[in-house]
Amino acid sequence: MSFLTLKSVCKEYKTDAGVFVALNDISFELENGEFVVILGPSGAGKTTLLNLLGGMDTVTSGEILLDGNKVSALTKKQLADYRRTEIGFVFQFYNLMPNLTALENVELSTEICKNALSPAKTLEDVGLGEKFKNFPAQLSGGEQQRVSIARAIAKNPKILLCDEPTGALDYATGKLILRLLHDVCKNSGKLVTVVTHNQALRDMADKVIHIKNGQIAGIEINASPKPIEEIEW
Amino acid sequence: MVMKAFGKTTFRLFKKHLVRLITIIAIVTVSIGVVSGIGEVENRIKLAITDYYKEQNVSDFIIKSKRGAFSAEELEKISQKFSTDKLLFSFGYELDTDGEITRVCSLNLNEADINKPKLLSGRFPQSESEIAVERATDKLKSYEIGETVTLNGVSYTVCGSVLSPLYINKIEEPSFVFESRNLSYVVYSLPSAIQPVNDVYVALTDRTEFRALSKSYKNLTARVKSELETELHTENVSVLSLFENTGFYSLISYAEKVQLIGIVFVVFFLLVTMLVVYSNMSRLFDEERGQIACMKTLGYTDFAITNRYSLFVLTGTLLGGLIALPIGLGVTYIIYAAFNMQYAMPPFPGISALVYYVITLTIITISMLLLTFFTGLKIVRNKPVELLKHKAPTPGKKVIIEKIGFIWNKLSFKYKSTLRNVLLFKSRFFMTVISVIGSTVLVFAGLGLLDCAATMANATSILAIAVILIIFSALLCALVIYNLTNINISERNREIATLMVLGYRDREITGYIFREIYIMSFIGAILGIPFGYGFMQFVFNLINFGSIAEINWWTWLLAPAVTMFFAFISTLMLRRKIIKTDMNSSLKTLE
Repeated sequence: MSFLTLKSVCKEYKTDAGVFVALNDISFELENGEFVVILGPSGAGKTTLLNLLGGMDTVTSGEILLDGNKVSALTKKQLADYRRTEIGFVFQFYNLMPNLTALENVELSTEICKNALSPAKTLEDVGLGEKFKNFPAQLSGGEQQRVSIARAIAKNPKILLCDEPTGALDYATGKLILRLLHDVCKNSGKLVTVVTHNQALRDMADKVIHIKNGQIAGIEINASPKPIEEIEW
Repeated sequence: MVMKAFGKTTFRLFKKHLVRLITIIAIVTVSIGVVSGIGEVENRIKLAITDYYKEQNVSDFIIKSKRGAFSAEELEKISQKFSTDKLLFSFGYELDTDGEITRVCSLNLNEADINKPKLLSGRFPQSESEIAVERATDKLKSYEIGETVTLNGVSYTVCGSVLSPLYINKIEEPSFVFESRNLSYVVYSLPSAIQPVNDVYVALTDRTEFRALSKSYKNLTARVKSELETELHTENVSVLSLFENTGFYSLISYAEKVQLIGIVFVVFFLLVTMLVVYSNMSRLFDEERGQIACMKTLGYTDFAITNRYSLFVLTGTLLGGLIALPIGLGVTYIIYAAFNMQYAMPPFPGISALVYYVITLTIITISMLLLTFFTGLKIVRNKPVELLKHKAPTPGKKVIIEKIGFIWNKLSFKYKSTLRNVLLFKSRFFMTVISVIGSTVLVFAGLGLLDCAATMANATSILAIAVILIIFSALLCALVIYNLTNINISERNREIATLMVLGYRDREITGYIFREIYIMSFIGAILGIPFGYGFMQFVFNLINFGSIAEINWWTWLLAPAVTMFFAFISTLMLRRKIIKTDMNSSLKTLE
């Protein structure tokens, strides 16, 4: 069995206008150590998919299995624990606590995990060894995103979920962040999933999942992914 | 067409911020209700007593002979001086029977058109062997109808019980004859033909001068009194005015104490209300930045945009004012009714100009509008570009405590973050603490007045005010903390969502927000004690009633405890709001 398995996952929302199907019959399998890109235009359902994987939302039908555990059957309380120990999130807008320093922001996530990595060491690994004591407002966008990545990986999660991680960054910084995410994937052997609408990123992924209108439009397996430095957009 | 759309967005503004609107309505209701209610009491009492004075034709003076009886010459002088006014000649004396003093007034109650008595039961005396008796109060005693009473060796039959306007007081009625002793009975008998005159009751014709013991009436009284004393010689007569009538004088002076309490409290209620509305509206303007930017790009003027929000506040204030009207009347009525415990109060004057209500509503409405306008303009004046930009969170900073390494290093993040928040957001910190201090002081003042009123027998009307103040201050306190907690939660939406995503549990997340509320409420509640001390000293001096020493020791603890209790209730009520925070929309959008 695969590390992460989705079986016929559906997600519907009830709105005033009726039932809105956000995801319909989604099935795929991902392996540990893979760098996966979920690609699609805005409104396609990629973020909904990421939310389901990350335990921020629950499926309407279908199953999600992570490392043999049935995520789709967890209660609200169990989902909090699932996010606590199994998932690392990276967002477009970083979402750091403004009144905690870089190091404290990382510690905020490790303090509640059992198998956490050293926060200081992790910050050094993402290249912020000098800026432990800076508050988010004293860091550039790229640096804040690094803290947010450090916060996600220091808890030693099973999957790293990234939602448009370069959306708020300039081109060069964005590339450096993607490099970092790719390195994390390959050096620690974690499953890293990046949601993006940037078509160019398909070339760097081991696996690309195309989403369109809430459905899978195709799954590509990339035998020889290109390093990010060689990709232009 | 444009105005139609403008009206629609304004309507939606109300719908979207309904909770804020309700908060404004509630706080205005509480403030205006209590302040106008207490303020109006004095007015109503003075109206009632003025009407009563006219209705019963109360005597302005009692001229008493010091030699047992007036000479014919003296009576002639008095009659000439007050020729157009009403006079009542009577003979009055006091008897000490086994330590109980009885005042006997010989006058014909059937014909009395001065100090018209109210017949409570039975009938007025019709023969010289009958007496009517003043009704029993806390201090005055009375007789049963049909009972036989012997006075000065003569037997009388009690035929009726009456209430004279000169005895509206229910407490001690001092004797004229026996120094520093009080009356036990007041009885009325018919005058006999051979009786001398030693009391002359004078009711001035000009009844308009009275106006509830006003200053001009006081001057008039003083003038007439000194004239009389010159004309009839001070050693022979004493002149008593209504300022020497315990009932009238103490009633008016208590009414004026109530008035002073109302005025002092208005400041506090207003201050706290302003702070609450200010913090509420500041937050609303922050949330509306996008909307404001959009309207600006469409070409609406700053003034027009700000007015939308002024309308919002105006609606809240006026609705609150409307609800406060019956509440204020109720408060006035309750305090007025409480005066009945000490005085035989005339009926509550129902129709009146509601002066205090109009004044309070006007003050609150104008200050609310100014506050909103200037708070709003500060935001609205910005360029649309600025407004659309993500409002950068206040940068984190080290706080002074961090220098004390041995304490700081032992704290976990929740405490580090809480302390930084409390100490960094200075304006929020001060606003919170000041409004909590304000409401704690009010609760404390209510409890303090209650303690003092409880130790004094004749303070039943202050007791009613104390109870009303406690209730309304507690309501205000609850609203203040609820509102601050509510604002805090919406400001920290993103942080709450972040903690959720990191897998923090409900209790850990609510603790993160509430710890701050508890710390700020606690600081405010504790500071409320010294401020309450100062305030009460001021109030006691001002109204010449009560003292710090009369306040029970537990009241000092009870007031902050009440505040903390409301902090706890507010957090309990708002717990759901935190838990229901939507992680997705909070984290993935720029507010």
